[in-house]
Amino acid sequence: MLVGVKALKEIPRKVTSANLQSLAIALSAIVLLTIPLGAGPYPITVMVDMGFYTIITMGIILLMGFAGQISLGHAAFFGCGAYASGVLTTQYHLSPWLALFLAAIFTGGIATIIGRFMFRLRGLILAGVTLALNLVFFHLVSSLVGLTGGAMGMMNIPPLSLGGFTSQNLLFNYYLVWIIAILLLVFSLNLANSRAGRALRSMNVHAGGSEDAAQVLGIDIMKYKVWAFVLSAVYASIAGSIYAHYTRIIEPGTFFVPLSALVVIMAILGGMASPWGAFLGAGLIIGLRELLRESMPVLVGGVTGSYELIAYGIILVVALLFLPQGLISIVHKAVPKKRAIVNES
Amino acid sequence: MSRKIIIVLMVAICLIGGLVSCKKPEPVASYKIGTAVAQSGKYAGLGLQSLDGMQLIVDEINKTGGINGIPLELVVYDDKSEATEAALGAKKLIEVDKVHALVEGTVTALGMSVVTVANEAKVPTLILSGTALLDDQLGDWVFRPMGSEVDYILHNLNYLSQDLGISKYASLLENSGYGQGGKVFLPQLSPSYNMTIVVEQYFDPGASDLTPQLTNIKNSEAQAIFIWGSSPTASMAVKQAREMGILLPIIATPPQVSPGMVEAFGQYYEMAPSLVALTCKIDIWQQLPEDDPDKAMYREFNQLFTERYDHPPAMWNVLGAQLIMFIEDGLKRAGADPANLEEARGKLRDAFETTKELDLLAAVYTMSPEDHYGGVRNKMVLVTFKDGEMVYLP
Amino acid sequence: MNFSVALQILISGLNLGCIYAALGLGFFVVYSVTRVFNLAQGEFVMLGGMLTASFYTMGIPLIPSILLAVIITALAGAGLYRFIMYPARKSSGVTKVFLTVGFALAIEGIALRVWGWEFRSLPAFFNSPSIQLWEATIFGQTPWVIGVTLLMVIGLFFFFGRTIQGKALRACADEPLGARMMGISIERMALFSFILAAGLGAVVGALITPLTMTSYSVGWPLTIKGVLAAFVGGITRAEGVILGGLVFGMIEAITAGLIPGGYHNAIAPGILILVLLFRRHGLLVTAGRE
Repeated sequence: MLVGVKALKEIPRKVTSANLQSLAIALSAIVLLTIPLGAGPYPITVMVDMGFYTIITMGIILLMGFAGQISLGHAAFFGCGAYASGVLTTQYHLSPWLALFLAAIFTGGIATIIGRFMFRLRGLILAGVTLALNLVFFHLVSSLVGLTGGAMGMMNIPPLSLGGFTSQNLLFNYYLVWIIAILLLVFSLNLANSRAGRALRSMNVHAGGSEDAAQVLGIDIMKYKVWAFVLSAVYASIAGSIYAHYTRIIEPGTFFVPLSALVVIMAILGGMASPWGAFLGAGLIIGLRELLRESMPVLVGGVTGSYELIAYGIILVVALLFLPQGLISIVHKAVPKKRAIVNES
Repeated sequence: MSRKIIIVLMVAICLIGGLVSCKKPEPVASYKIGTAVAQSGKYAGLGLQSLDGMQLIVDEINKTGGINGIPLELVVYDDKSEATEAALGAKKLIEVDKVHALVEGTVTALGMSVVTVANEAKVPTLILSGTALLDDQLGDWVFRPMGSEVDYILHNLNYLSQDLGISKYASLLENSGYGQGGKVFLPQLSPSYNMTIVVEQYFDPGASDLTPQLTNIKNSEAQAIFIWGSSPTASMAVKQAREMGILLPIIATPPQVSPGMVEAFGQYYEMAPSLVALTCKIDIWQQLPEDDPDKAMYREFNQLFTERYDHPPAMWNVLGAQLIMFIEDGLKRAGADPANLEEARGKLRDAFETTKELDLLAAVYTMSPEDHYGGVRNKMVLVTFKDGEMVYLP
Repeated sequence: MNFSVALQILISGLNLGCIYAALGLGFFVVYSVTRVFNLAQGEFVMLGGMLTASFYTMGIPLIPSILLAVIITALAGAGLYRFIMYPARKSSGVTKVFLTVGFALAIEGIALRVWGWEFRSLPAFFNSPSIQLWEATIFGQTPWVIGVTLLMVIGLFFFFGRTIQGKALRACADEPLGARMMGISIERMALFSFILAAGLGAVVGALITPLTMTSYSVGWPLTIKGVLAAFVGGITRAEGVILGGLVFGMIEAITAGLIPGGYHNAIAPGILILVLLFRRHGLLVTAGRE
């Protein structure tokens, strides 16, 4: 993935922006798909986790980067997908693929209902609503013991399978997650360049637009905002369903506010100007976590949990201070042409 | 300029993170035990206490020449009190550190995520958390030599029905994985003691005021209260009940007598009828009669632990320590070659399954291929409080 | 439901409500001046409680212990502004919110390092005994919680409404440009708001420790409760925050005794969602700026 970004910088400037975009996608895809050839099972496991984060973060970027809305509750949509898949497959014995599809529709439906009211809300108030939503979800799932297994969690979720492979196979998960991530990336990029994307961007403060200006231009703000919200929820739901079939055990604690906050941090650090930011942000945070896990026992020795937490907090602060526009802003500076199509500010 | 440096550092962090996790493991010269329990997050108390116990026993074993001459090595990660991190820690210990056995699962929700990983990677794994709700899910490779509530709350129920002659009681349960055990097992087990639960109330870990719940209990026909929870709120419930003038007998689970809680709430624990709680013998080992076969074992452990950590051991220190003792017993009987990883893991698992009458600090364990939580004879005892002391209730 | 039950629920709700209102005030002070949502507020509460308990167990009397805790926590607040929020003053609102998250994580780690995992407690202030009122019980600490919260509220109203300093603070939030033209240093005012919020948080920490005990990990749950209380009433006005806190406390007290299982926890945030969807500025604030 990073190699892909590096390669981007070396491409002659005269290449047109659209070509560049496709080239970047192709390069990233090739890099991502060949990583397993050289890596051991543990790095691949880490990469699978990173894939889940990337997909959720891409939804966050659609919502925050394009529609300028903050969510502090996407862990609930991730959990919605996971639990809907879990319940449908274990209690109603549906096929996992069908469950994934129904879970996405279910989550999208909930997001639509909430989203319908969203036109009234701006900025931090929406953060409050989504935060509350996350709490409602967490406590419901923890309490509905008969349906979800309660605080203990839900066990024995069947794996996904395709053409003789199942998600008991690590590589199957790896390819599944990253192929979906790349497909969603392409979808997001097309969306960004479509009429809807332009409309969304025109009302985004991060990209120099404003809601009032967009309204003056006759853009139906509410419709597009709801769209962005629903799409971001569906992204999270898809990731959640795959996650449930991958781990086959889910528990409510995974889907609580810390995860919601984490994916927003990934979006900020990756950069909300482009869906590419999700890849960068997730890569940065997961890389950092692994680095701390690896280096702290060597640096201080023995029990290092508190040191890891302190270092993690400080590095987050430093990263946010020095990268307020995210890693993508560096790429944009290196490749000014590309800036024109992704971020019109 | 400094901006660029930071940026370069960020990118470097990602790359190094990726590269480091690909590093080659060193040649195996010792038995490696991997553990990813909570060192931070909300379960850090339990995780850190058990780690102290584990480290102590590992060092003791190495001091006396290891197991069959081969030293033990403890590899430690933090599960951050998160299920995803617990699973990731387990995978890293298995794949990168190539451990022979795993100790994981500070609480049940974290332990579950490891069960699948361990069974698929075929690594003998011990789960630290203590609920029987997991027991039919352990698979071929996971063991839980911890005792479970179905065994030990029999002490509590027996005390309520035989010693106090109670037929109706109230349960006050925590909204947590731990409290869920009470929700399932109390209604299941009470009828055989001719007792009924007349009112079931719930509280949240961290709640500051339980008066509404306690008022409901006060206004019911309950003759006693069963408090089941692992947070300080569960201990505070005793204080609030007494301050409200509820003078029913209260019986509680082990977390209510964990370190800190007795100092904080001791005066309320003592108020008649004083609190009766279940705990591990380590808390009152001095009061055991001299002919108690376990007394010497506790005296020795207490001495070892106090020498190293400057405070007496508590229940979770014991639980951590005895998991290492359980592994030690398995490794001794397995006689595996640590260099041959797969074979050693398999032999160790087989050895675990043939554990017979293994007499450890908290229980006596007998395992079989069908029974991975053990025909446990637990050594839990009931204690009460008097004159500022915890008193053994034989 | 008989009278004593109703009275007990009322007392319990008032107690909880005051705690949430006091938590919310910390958010309000920072938000009203800087428009930043300080998600490290719960960590200030944790620091206040842990420091007070540590000093108290060292043998220092209660009031000096609390004062010391407030001073140290206020310094942490000043540090948060000076070294993190001030350099980031040009960043977007979201970035600022998550800078406080990074700070909160680091503080939690430091607390775990310094104090370990053990829970700490305090006796009720001045060992106040609990009071029996008809059939209901008022715990010794409850009058202190209600009284001190009331004092903080009155103090804040007086400060914001009557003093030059307070008016200058409000001006920074409402009209930054105008305030600057009047010679008010926005940076100094922002610094002051963080110090004030941290100090208030420390007092709350000392207040609730006799009720709930405290440890390195209590910060996040408190932050979440405080945020919800602040939102439900309307974050832009102190009255809103207090009302929000009281409403939240009451809902929790009523539902905790009536609804089995953990469902009651879903009710308070559920009501918040409804309130915000239909009254987007919170219960009190009907119009005006966000």
